[in-house]
Amino acid sequence: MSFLSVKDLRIINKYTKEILVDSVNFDMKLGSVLGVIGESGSGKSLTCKAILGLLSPNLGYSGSIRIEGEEILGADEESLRKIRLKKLSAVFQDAMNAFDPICTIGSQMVESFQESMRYKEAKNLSKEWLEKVGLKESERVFQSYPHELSGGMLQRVMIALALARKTPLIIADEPTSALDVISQKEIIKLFQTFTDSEKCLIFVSHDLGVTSHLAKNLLVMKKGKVVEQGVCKEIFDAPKHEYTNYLITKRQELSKRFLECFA
Amino acid sequence: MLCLENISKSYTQKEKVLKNINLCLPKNASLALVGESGSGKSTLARLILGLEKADSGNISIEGKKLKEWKKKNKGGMSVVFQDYTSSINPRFLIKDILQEALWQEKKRLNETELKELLSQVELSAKVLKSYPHELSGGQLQRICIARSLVLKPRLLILDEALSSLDVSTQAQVVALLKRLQEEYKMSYLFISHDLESASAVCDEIAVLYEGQIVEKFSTCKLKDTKHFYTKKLLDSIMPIRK
Repeated sequence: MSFLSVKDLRIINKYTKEILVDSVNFDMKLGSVLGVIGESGSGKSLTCKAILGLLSPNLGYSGSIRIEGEEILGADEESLRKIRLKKLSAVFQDAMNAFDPICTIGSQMVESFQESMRYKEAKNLSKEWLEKVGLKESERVFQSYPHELSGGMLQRVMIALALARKTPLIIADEPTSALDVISQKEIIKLFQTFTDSEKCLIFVSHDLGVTSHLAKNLLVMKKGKVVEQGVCKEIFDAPKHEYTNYLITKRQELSKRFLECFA
Repeated sequence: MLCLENISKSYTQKEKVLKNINLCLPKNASLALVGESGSGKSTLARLILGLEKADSGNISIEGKKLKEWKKKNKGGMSVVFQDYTSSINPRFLIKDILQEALWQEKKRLNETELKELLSQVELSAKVLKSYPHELSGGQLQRICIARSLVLKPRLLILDEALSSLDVSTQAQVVALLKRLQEEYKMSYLFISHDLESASAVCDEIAVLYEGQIVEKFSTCKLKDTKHFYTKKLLDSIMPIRK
């Protein structure tokens, strides 16, 4: 049975009646990595938000999103909270805005574990994972405020949080777009190390290069619609839709001169 | 075209942001300045633009000191910043944004000139009567590039001008920059953290690390780089893996 199944997902703006996401269908098994690709405004992030149950009230929706058989769309807050607690975690693009600026990193990390454990345990767990994601001075990071850390470090903290909660599904919405190339590579490596057969990952990005290093399956979106989906390798070898082809050629155009230098 | 000699700059007494920078950018050439965040790239750009003053050292353009050159060559140097939303006034129409470049002069662009300018950056004339929020990021960044071209500069500084764009838009803007360089005979100083886009735009690359230029090489010699930081940068590039 698939872990996550999205069927005929459709999201519209209630006021303007604009269709933002239309007929998105996909299934995910544990142990798989799905790359979602598309330009800005293609509905990638909205799809993620729908899975997290975070759609804003001015958006209407139809279709179904099921995690191990439980419906997310239209579920009440209490059951959503339970599903999120056990099964979902998310990493967003803008790490600077994802943390509360007036609380320490430590208190924010502990807060998300405290549902199931004592403070001391939660603190140890936080520090353990901070070290696992490459933040060696875990005590200092634990006591810092968000503004004292760089964007790359905050992004790592967010990933540490997502991984430490040991949820089966991680949704990473453009986790590396705001970072420089070196941190980007390191974060991709983190995801590679920590995704195993017990986890599945949805990785949203506009960069085909980055996605191709991580994802096994691919979903290409354009203007709210899925234009192509399938196994990553096959799509790169023979893209069927012209938009996919366009994305691939543009990506190759950008790296052409760089690769030439190594030929 | 542009020459930097022994430039140093510090904001606090403890630390120097830039230490003894020596750089030369020939005419009609393009130089990429690559480094991580906090390495002093943007500070250097601000020094060259004359927005800040260096503690020591000389900046000269076309053989003259920066200050003198700027007085005589208004509009000879232009800049495109990373953050396109904060470099334009959200309450201006696109057409006023483009006219803004001429605010100190009596002259204004007429309709045909505006259209021509937009066609240079591959945008339709329809956008002239829109507000910034109606356009996408890629379109706005191209508007910023168009605005920087109004005064036909000879030196264009691109400070992370591609970093906030989609990959496909980046490729478009790179092609655009290459074409414009030939047409307008401009020199580029391209500041970036990404060796891939730097190598796509520029013929020469200088690597800035902890406030110092640690390596400078022509783009085709990328594979012979020696410094560990350059190697790390090279290692982080992720082209499509099949």
